[in-house]
Amino acid sequence: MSFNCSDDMKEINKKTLIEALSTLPEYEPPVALWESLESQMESEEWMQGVELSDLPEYNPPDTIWAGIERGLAKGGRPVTLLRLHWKAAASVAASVALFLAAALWLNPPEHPAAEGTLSYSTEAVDPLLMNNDWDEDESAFQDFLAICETKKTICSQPVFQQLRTDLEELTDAKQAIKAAMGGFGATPALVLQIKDIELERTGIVKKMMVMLI
Amino acid sequence: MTTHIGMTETELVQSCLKNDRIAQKELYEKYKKAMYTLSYRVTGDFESANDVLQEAFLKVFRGLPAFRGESTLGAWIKTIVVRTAYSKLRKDKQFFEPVENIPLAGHVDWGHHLDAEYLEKAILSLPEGYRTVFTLIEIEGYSHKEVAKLLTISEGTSKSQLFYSKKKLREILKGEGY
Repeated sequence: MSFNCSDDMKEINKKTLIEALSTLPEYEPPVALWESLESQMESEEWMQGVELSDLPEYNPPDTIWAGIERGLAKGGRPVTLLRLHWKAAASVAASVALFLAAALWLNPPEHPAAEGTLSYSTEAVDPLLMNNDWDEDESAFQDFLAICETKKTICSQPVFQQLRTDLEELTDAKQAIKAAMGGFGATPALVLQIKDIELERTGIVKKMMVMLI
Repeated sequence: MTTHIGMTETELVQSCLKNDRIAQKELYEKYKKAMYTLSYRVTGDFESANDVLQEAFLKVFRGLPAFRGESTLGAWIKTIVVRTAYSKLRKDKQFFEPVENIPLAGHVDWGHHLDAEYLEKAILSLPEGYRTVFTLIEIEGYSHKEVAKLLTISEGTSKSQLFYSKKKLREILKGEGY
């Protein structure tokens, strides 16, 4: 749509309009308007001044890793380190401790007080913890239980059944301790527990053998 | 406290570019009245005029590095104010009044006296499209070509809106006894 006729409008007494327009009032913006404008500019300038690289870093609380560890131990696929055999893990830990000790001895910190102190200790590995194979006699136990199956009259006796149940419970307990050793390494307390279990198992099997003879 | 009294406009702009808040305030003070009045005339209410003025001055301070001095600073700020007001008003609605495709011929007699107060009321009661074009051309002194560029409309639309705005204005004033 095109109009070319605005110029054709005749305005009589245009001077009256011009004079009236020149006396139209002017308005002052409210004082708060500048304050609002200023605060918006300040917030924009503050944002411009912030470098992402200047943002602080935060350390998670230690409980986070403990939770992750617990979750990994309960289920899911454990990380490689946890799957190491306890002997290998002990060996790695001992190597790391030795390496750190050597490094500190060769390059002592220049300002130990300012840098903080690093303490370390080495723990001797008990040869018993290193060398025990707790499944050594397991095949003998399995052979004995196989013989039991052929002596139905004796095996069905309540006393024999009770001994068998006790033996199975102790075997389950042993497996649980072995699993704990696999995940976190053998400790003297765990070794003592497993030794006690093995003694009890042997005692039960002896009683069962007496009944079978 | 630093004062910027006596600074040339160029020096004031240079200080504003350094985010000198006192200079920015001075620039605002210098133009606030004219720009607020313009905002009010275009939007038709003070609340919208407040929003427009704040938004426009933010654009002014943000856009100042792009000001090349091809026009006066006042003219540049005015352009920003008009565009801000216009874009606020035209959101989701038809802004310009539809006009019949008839020759824009006729006459308007403004009489021998017009009271500014009534004239102001009459202007504010005009439809937005009429009011904007009337304000820009008759009060602010823009040409149809400039209005067309400013509002991204054709010159024909600007002319027709002005024509009908004057006719309408006269009708309103007549109703008031003028």
